[in-house]
Parts: sequence; structure tokens; C-alpha cells
Amino acid sequence: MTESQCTAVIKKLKPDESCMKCDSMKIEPVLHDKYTALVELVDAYVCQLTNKKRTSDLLRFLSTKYPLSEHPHVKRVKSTKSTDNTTTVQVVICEHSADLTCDVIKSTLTEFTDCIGCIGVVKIPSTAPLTRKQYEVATQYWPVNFYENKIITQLLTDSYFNYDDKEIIQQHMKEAIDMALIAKQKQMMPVGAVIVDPVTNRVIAKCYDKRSGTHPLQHATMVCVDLVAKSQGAGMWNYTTDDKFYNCEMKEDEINNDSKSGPYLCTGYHLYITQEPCVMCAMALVHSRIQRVYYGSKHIEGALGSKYKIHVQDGLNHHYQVFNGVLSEICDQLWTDYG
Amino acid sequence: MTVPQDKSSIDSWMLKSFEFAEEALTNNEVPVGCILVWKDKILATGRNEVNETKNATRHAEIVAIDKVLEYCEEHSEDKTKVFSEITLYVTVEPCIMCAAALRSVGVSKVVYGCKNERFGGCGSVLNIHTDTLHQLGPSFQCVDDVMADEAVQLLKTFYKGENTNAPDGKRKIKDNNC
Repeated sequence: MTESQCTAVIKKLKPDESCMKCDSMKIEPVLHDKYTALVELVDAYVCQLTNKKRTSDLLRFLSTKYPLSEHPHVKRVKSTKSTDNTTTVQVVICEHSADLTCDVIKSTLTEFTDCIGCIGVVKIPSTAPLTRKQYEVATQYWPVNFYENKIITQLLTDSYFNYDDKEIIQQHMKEAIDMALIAKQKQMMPVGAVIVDPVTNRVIAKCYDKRSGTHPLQHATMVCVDLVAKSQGAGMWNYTTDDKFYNCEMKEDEINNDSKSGPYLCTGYHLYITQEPCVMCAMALVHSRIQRVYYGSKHIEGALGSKYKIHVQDGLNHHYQVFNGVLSEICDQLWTDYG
Repeated sequence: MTVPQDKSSIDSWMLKSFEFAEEALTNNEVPVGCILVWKDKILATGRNEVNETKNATRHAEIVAIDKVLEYCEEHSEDKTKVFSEITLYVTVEPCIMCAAALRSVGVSKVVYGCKNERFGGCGSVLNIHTDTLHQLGPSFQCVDDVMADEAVQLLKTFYKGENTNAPDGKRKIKDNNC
């Protein structure tokens, strides 16, 4: 695909103002699996409450004797109205365990024998729901508390970005695509990358993948991170003007080494890259403290959603946000006629 | 070439890696050092140089890989062949990034000192060295726990202080639990 063809495709894909959520504007969050996980259940002992006047006494007793500390999201009481309009009230006693039999439990509840019915086992959600969908599933089993995270809801309902945000995101991805097109002309892998300071929209660095040149580690992300170091007056690798890479040059007072207020690695920056980074690059971005990554095409061994989710990997000391699908049709097309 | 089986030989190569870890410490860098041994000789050495370069990817292994590439270029050696015959001796378990880098250049034998509980890619956080990743490169074997106590001691010395290169808001006084 030539640059003019690419522009034509972008023009074609550019939605009219009334169509804010059409496919070409799609930007999908890549979230931790816990937000899409099925609701897990555990068995719990419950009893029917026959005398509602004793509810508060029983709950007070249970909270000391059998605190639900492993499942603080679970509500103790479930009221069910049946068709004949009678209400059944069930109370969670504790989580089921092999060494805690019904008889043992009964023996601890002697002061409530007049107000509770038989003890049974039901399924309760083992962890707190994190999304409205999980909440709706969880409550089909047992009532739970749900504290909605507004950002997660916005991300899941495609309302995190407004139209203007999406335009800016596409514009920066277009710059990454332009770099990929230069790479293609040079018989390099068609992957382009741009690092932007989102506060000012200033481009800090842009480059393409050079791994098929002399250096197998010069993936677009690795080069881009080094160009950011270069913008701060350091860096490691040497580049020629023929590479057509770019890095801004921070002024002395911007770097401001004395006050320690200057830029630090990629802190606060956003990376735009045409293809999902590999595990080396994804981890390089953890080390570099990047704030957010947007990518176009997925890769089977990609580390930001496909093979791993390094950006939300448990145990790592820095996490970052990831969005995919940005101009993915064009990013996919970059690979036609390659190699 | 296989990883030397006798302990004294492994230890003596590892001892050499410690010189570069010490050098990192002297330069206010996280004290990790490595050597790449090829045909029973040290082909390249590396140590952390993240703070000097303001590039958080400049770990000892990446620095050493760069030097091998330069060597191959200068001496017209086949880099794929050279890397496949190399043994890496590094004082700390390679991180996830470095483990992936080692696979992409095709290093097949790695000997390391202590575990890297924070970032380790050879068993601690992930198993990048053995996971199925055909496009990335061949998997590699690891020999661990070689002079691990010494490596931990060195890290403790560093983390007793703090990273003076981080801006104030990002700087944390580190505890001794590395």
C-alpha cells in the first residue's frame, strides 16, 4: 500500500459526524481478565429464618461467630417472594467446608432453634463483581454488594472517549502508519510507532521496526523508547538521517535535572503502534513507565492481549492502559505484499 | 557447547560477572552484571546502565547482546550461529524483557545467580524461557542458584539507598526485601 492509497483508505473510513460509533472509530480496551471472567461460586450453609423479629439478633451473632471475611461482598440475607405472595427469608451462615457439618453448626445455634428452619447448602459468588454484567449474574445466585467503577463501565460501554478524543487518537495512529510505510519502502517490517505527551499532544519520538536490519532487538517499541531517552539528552543506539526517525529535543530547562521535575523515562506518555508489541517490548514499556498504549493489529504472540497481558500482569510493579483496534483495517493492510 | 557441568568452572565464570555487577553499583546502577562466553572465552560483558542512558531497557543482558552484534559485524561472523553457541552468566535471573530478548537472538544456555521476584522471566513472574513462542525464538535452559547469596547481598546494598534518578514524586525509599 502506498502513502496515497493509505490516505484514500483513511478518507474512506473517516466517519461522518453523525456516526460516532461506527466500526472505523472503534477503540477497544484490553482489560485484565478479571473484568470478563465468569462469576465463580462457592458452597455456603444457609438457613431459613422463620421468625423475622429475630433477624438482627441472628445477624449480630453470626457476624461474630462466622464472619464472612473471605466474602465481604456477600449479603447475609436473601428475601424471596413466591407466587402466593409469601416471603421466604434465607440467611448465609458460613462457607461450606468438609470439617464443618450441619450438626456442628446446629449445635452452635441453639439459642436460635425457635426461629430458624433447616440448614441447607447453596452457591454464593466467591468474589466481588467488578462489572455490571458480573453483578447481574452474581445476584441470580445470591444478593451481593456492587460498587461500580465508573471508568471500567465507560471502557466497557465504549463511552470513555468522545469524538474529539477519537480523532486525536486516529491522527497519532496515522503518524505511526506513515512510519510503517517508510519501513515498507526500505524492505523493513511494516511496523511504525509514535510516542506522544498526551497533555500537550507533542510528538516526542517516532520510528519504525528495524529488526530485519542489522539489529534483531530493534523492534519499533525498543527504538522508540531509546528515542525518548535521546529527547532527554541521553539514549544508546546511533541512528542515521536516512532512518527518517524523529525525536524532539527537550530544552535544558525542560529536562531540569536539578529539580527532578523533568521527564522521567516514558512516564505520562502514550505509545501508538501499528502492531501489538511482543513480550520483550511490552516489558520494556513496563520498565519505561509508559502510561498508555494504542495499537492497531493483533499479533498471535503479542503480549498486550493476545498471548500475554503484560500491562496488567499480577506481580509487576507498574501497570498501563492498553487499547487496540485503532485503524486496525489499515494496520492489517500494511502486511499485504510484505516479505 | 553445553553448560559446564563442574561447579568450579561455573562459579569462576559467575565470579567474573560479579565484577560487572560491582561496576554497576559503583556507578549508582542496579547491580546486575553478566558475561557472554563463546568458545571458552568471554565474548562480551554487560552491566546495568539504565540511569546513565535514561533508557530503562539498558539491562546488562541487552548491553552485552549489543556488543556481540558489534563483534559479529566487525569479524563477519554469523550472528545466529554465534548466539546459539553462547552461554550467558548473569548475577540475577533475566527479567521478562531480557528473557524474550535472549530468545529472539537465540541464546540457548543461561546461568544465573539469584531469583528476580519483581520482574523475573525465567520462572519467577513468567516462564518466558520455556513458553511456546515459536516466532520469538528458541526456548533456552537455565541453571539457577549460582552464587545467589552474593547476588542478593549486592542488591541489598543498592536498595538500602534509593534511586536518586527518580523524580521526587516517584521516589520511594526501598526496603531490604529485594
